[in-house]
Amino acid sequence: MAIDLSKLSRHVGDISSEDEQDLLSTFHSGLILRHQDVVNAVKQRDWQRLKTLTHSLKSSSLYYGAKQLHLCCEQGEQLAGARQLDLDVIQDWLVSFTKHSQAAQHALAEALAQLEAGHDRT
Amino acid sequence: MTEPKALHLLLYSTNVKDDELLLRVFKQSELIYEITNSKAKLVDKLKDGVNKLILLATPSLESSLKLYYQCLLEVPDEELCRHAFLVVCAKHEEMQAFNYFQSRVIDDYIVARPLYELHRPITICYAQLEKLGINLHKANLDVPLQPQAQDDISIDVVQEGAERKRKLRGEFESLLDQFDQAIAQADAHLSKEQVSDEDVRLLRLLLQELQQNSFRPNLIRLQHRTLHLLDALLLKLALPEAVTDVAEESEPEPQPDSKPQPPSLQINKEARASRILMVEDDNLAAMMGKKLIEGMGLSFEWAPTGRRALALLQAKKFELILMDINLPDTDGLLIADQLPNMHCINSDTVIAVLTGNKQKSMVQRAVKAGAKHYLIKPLQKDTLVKLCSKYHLQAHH
Repeated sequence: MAIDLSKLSRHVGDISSEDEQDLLSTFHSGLILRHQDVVNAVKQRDWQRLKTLTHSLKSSSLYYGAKQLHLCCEQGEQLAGARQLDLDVIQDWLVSFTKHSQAAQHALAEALAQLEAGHDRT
Repeated sequence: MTEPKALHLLLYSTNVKDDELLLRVFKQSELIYEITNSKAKLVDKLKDGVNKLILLATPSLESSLKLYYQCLLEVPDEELCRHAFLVVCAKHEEMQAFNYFQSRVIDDYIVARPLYELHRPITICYAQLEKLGINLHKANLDVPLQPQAQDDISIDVVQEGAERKRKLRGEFESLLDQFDQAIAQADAHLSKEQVSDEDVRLLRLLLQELQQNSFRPNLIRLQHRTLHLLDALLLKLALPEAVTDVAEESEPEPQPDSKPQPPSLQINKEARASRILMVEDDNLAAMMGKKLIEGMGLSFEWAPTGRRALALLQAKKFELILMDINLPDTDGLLIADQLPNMHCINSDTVIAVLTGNKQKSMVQRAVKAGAKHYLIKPLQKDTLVKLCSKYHLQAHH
């Protein structure tokens, strides 16, 4: 399971389904942008930026219960902060990150569509 | 008619007589300065768009800090001009001033009560102005070196060396000017959708020269990442298919929302809701924090930078501070460390560090800095409820 939205209220309290929809939309668009930022940081070999991005995403991925993405970002943060960087290892990590990020993006989009469909029916 | 020269320094002085010697020293320099004792003028000068030094000389270091940060609070981020904040302090305040300098609460300080090193204020002001892009140093050495007997060679070495440094500085500054003009020209063309190959070629050429220039290596190193980014953008302009677009930062503002509070919080319809300050540079975390905190009937304030946090801490009483560590302009733990010494309304406010950093050494640093709690991000409702209950925070509906 790429995401787990059952824990969302732990972070934000009780919210209406409209608010939940807004939040999911923010998570979804935010993740797409952050993903691209991460790709660019690796491309430009900007390890400080990569460390900042993965550090931020490590926490925010937990809002929507993306545990695998969280762990992957934690690993990315450690790699980016290491004194000696192995580019092959970073590339392997990026493949893994892309897989988890896209899975979370897909799951968020699906959850969003389901919420929208629910609203349409009511 | 000639235009008035831009101000370099605004001196806020509560008693000009105390600063008479300092002013005499300033008069001998190239500094263009104004003196005021008006808070309104200080606020105006923080938003007039002119890079400058703000120097506060009040009866104490603490009162200078309070005044500056009160004024800062009145200026929105987008109107704030680039400036350096300096204070005049007494000899016995030097240690505290140094602590504030290290924490970046102030940019520098001048020990002028009494003023032992007569020209030190000028060197400090010139150095700070240079950081703001204003160079007041003389172009030539107008005081000839005094030759010492049997030591003429060393004078030549000094003169040649100084000349070499001046030449390098001149070349570098000329290069910056050319680059500035080329960017302005390309920008003007871009607004008319007329960017030419010549614009791109010139920018690339100057960019290469800047990257290769070894003068002021620290500055160059700091600029390197920006130059690389610009380089990538230029490459994209020249070869649009070659580089992926640089995604923009998403900066959602925390959105207000109002939700019922959990039963464990004390609800008081008479008293004001307890205030929580969240010092956090991540917009998403701030937005979630706002929803959670306001949803619990508490009052939420947000500071995305250390400076904003300091301004708010001087102006409003908070019952709890949620402090991130990595901030764009400072380290949250330095603020936590300094807060008790600032003798402000929040000197005894409880600080809970809220971070994604799980390192033991960081926890130890937080404890040393006076933080009462160390919370791992993201913030959870249960944790916040416990904190509110422990410190008797009042919800309001």
